[in-house]
Amino acid sequence: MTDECAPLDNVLRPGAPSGPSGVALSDRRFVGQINLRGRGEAVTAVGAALGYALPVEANTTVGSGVSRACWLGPDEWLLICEDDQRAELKKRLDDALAGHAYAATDVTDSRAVLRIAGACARPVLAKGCPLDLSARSFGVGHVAQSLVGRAQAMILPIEGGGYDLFVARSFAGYLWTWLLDAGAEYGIRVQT
Amino acid sequence: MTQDFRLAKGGRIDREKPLRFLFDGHAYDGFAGDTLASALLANGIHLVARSFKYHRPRGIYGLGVEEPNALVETGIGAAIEPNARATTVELSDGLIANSQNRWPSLRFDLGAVADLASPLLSAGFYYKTFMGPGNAWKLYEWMIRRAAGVGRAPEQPDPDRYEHSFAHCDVLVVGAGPAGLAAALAAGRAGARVMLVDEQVEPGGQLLNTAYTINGRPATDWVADATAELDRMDEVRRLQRTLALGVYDHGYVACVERAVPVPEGRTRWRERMWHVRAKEIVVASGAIERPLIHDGNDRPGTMLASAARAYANRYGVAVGKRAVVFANNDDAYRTALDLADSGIEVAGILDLRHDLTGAMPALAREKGLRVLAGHAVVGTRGRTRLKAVEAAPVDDPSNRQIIECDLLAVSGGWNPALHLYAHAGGKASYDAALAAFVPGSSPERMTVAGSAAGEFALAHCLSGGARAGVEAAKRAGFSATQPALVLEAPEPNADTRVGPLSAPNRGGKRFIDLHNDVTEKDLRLAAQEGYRSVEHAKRYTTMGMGPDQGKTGNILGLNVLSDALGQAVPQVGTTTFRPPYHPVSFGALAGREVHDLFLPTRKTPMDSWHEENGALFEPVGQWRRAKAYPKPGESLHAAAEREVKAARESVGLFDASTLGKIDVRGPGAAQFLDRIYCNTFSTLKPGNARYGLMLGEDGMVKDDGVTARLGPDHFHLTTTTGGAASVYVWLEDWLQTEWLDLEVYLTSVTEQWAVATLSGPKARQVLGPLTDVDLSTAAFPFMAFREGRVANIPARIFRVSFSGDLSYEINVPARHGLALWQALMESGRPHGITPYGTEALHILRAEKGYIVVGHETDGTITPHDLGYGGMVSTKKDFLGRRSLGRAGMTGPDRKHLVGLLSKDPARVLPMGAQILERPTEARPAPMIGHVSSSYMSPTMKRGIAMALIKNGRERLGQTVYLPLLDGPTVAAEIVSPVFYDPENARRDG
Repeated sequence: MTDECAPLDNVLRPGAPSGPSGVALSDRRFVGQINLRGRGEAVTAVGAALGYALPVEANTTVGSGVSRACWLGPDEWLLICEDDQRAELKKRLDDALAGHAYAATDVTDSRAVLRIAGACARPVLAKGCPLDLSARSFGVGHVAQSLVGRAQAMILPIEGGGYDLFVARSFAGYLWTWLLDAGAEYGIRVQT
Repeated sequence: MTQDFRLAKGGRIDREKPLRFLFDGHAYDGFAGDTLASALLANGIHLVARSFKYHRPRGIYGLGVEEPNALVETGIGAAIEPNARATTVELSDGLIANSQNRWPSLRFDLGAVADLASPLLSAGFYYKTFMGPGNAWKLYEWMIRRAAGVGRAPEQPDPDRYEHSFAHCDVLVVGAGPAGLAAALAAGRAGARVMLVDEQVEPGGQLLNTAYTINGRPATDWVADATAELDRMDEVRRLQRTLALGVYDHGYVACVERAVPVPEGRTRWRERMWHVRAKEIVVASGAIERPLIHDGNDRPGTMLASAARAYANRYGVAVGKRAVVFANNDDAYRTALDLADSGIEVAGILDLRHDLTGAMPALAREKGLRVLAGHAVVGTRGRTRLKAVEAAPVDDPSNRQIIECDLLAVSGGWNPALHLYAHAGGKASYDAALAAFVPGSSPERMTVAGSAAGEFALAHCLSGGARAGVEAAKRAGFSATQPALVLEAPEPNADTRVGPLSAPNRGGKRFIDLHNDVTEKDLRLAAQEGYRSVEHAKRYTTMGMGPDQGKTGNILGLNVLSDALGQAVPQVGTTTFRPPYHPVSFGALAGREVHDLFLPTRKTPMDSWHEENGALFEPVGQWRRAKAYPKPGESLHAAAEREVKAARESVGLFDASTLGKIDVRGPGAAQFLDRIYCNTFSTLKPGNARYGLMLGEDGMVKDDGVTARLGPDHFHLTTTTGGAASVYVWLEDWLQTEWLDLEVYLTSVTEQWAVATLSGPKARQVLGPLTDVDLSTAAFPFMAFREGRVANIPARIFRVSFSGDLSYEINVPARHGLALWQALMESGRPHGITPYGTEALHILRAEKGYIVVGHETDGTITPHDLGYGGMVSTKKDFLGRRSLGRAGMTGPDRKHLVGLLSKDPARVLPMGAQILERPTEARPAPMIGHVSSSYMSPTMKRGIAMALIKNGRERLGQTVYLPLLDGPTVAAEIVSPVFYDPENARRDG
């Protein structure tokens, strides 16, 4: 296999701000992502293959074992897993869905995943995301697609406070710069 | 300099923290807690500005955002802020402020000659200059442009940082006066998530300015308790120094927070714009006192009565040594009493009302103050500072007495601050007893409480606020379980009615709008000249159009208009309240969307290679794409020419990753594409690709691209770079809302695939060694698609061509894009492989006559216009089909895509140039078309162009004429748009 290039490989450079901080920023490089579309019995069939039912409530996420399903629309989910698990996951979906109408598409390379964590992750994100991010309405178990600055992103709250931001690969550099800028007020540290 | 007018005690300033500041170059002292205005007044400075039009000397007039006069410039160099209200500028150590609109100095201003010319500068002066005579406008314009504007903008970039934040709450309370605090407490106790925003440095509102008691203690004690309780609540966010600028739909409220000033000067951020989404809004924005109309009412030393008492109570400043209070209402007596309590001599209270029945005048008389009922100020004396007023009975205005004073505190009653209520669509009604507009029915999600609702008594503010808070919380889904707030605030039984708004006219200047120098006479003139609508009169006279937007004067103006027009005030109506409530800085609006963060720059997976190899980039939407790869010293033109030659003669490599890509899958996929494209896809065999034209419902070309059939129910659709997002949305729209009979699933894969396009006669030699795919023409013909490995990377290869030569578009997962590119460059080295950019791409495709959506189409071009009529299926229905059959979609009036060759082969016709049938035409000449694309073609060795010309295909061989902007009219011949390899031998070989 040839050299792989994660979206931020050319953005992350030594000399990025570091030190004590209220928020930590890191690049998750490759997160396995399979976009799944289907309706009716296909949805049930996927549930059996994954070991959990796909979430049907808007903007929620369910995960177990190697994968997590994020609701994107009434007939659309993003299944996420480790990068090296995605071929296996895709095969399991294709096997379970044989005979059904559906689309399971590997979109792993289409998005970067940036993680902001720490006590101030929420106010940093609130500088550019119009969603209500309070724990009352948006905590672990929720997921949403919205804007961060001028980039569209899927926002997934993580355990321990913070978010994984799934952003189109071409916007990753912009979002990285945006987060460093927004985090400056609280002290932002780059975790590698 | 000593603070001669600072009271010995009292006020909420910190006398332990002296601050030094400069005004017009002179050093003064103030205290922490002062505003620039209170500190200037403490030093006896009233004159701080010259008025906009007449350059009349003006003093500090108000207390906060309503200030019409005291506009100053703060800061120096890049940090200059023009038109800051001295009344809202927080004093900080080392603050530098300067007066504006004066030359050479504030006390001696040559611009004041305008005052002498004021008879010439009447209402509508500006409009009247348009009427002539002759060329006079040229002179007028020169003069007006020199005189227009207040303050000067800094010339350097803003050094400060401005932030934006989004916030959400159940109940937003605007204003932390008694009503707002009570509302926030009530809602907070009910468990609602509350935001309390207040423009002041500390909460309390009027309770900071006037000596009230609540539950038997000073009202400020209650403010402290309430604030402490709010701050203990987890779900309450309290923002001071935060102004609500506007209310928009769905509970969206824009607010701006100012940073706490720091002695070093620069704060981490200067302002923060809050985008608040509130389920419920309680408007407790208070009321703004208005003045009275009287002769000489702009003399420095004249001030709103409530401001005069606030300077005494809150800032410990005696605004004058000897005051006259001029009023038409009971509340102004508080000012007289508080001033007297502060040790300021009150020379008299002139009340326009004849019958004084309320408790307040009696109280004043008990305290030994001189109350003159039915009296008015009919003139003022002094130039840059008030020296005396002329008082006279309302019924006998010539019977004047001179009262010496250096402060005239004026009160014409209070106007509820209805701006936010009106932004939300609230319709105010006129309360004649208050001579004020008060809220009518409440807009959705909004409650108005306290004096903003016309409830001026403190007890009503508190109870009304608490009630509003409970109800707002309830509507947001929270019910109060705590006992209701019980607050006692006894007051003397004041008369709530106000008297006349105007003193007898003795022919002096009577200002309505102090900032814009609009007088009562101007308004009457406007009415006389036919400006009967308040909105017209406003624009004609400029009343209420200054930075203060008429916060103090507008109601007076309405009353004048009402009198002049013989209509009641409600019939005259108000002008429209529009956001922002108070001017907002450009910095706050822009936030961090500056410099690098102004717009995202989208980069392809191969972008770093382009950058390292000297690419010249161009923006294409948000993408940056390599336009060309000039060698050192090489021009763009020369680079593009070299790149085109390589792609024609050997091989070129192009980064096509930005193309829109949509995965289309499902049992209805083929039928779906048949409906989307004007040509047919259901007949396409798996493994093959076809060029498709997508039309809008109007039959016009919307997008184009190649779509390949990956399997029976599986397609890979491509769009133009610019159309990627809009086409995806358009397709989803049809599937989700119209074509529920089709089961088709779309997935955007634009960013999943990196695309490198090999193009040129040696493309096969370059790709061959890297792939396991059989590239022979027999095995892999033009418009076919194969899957395999390239450079050991799983790849999809499309044999399509946008250059007209042998070409392969190689798609690999984005993480391998750079590696693929490098492998192709390496493999192509022996063949002279040359990377080419978008400039060469455009030349290559234009040589071949291929269209670019947006160049050759502009939303009015059909497939037939392009000469692609043969693609349009007659056997099936598709989007746009019915429109194509309408009259006017065919015939000799349509423009056709044709080629255009300048008679002079060295000339490149400018894109966009208009085309005429004859070289000399009477103007306006009938234009028969325009140039849509034009380049110097390295292959044809001459200028080539594509053009859209009326009935062009019937004019092949004709000569047309292009009058160029830079001079000559150029002749060109209409030809076929395909200049290169019309037989497609090179493409298909």
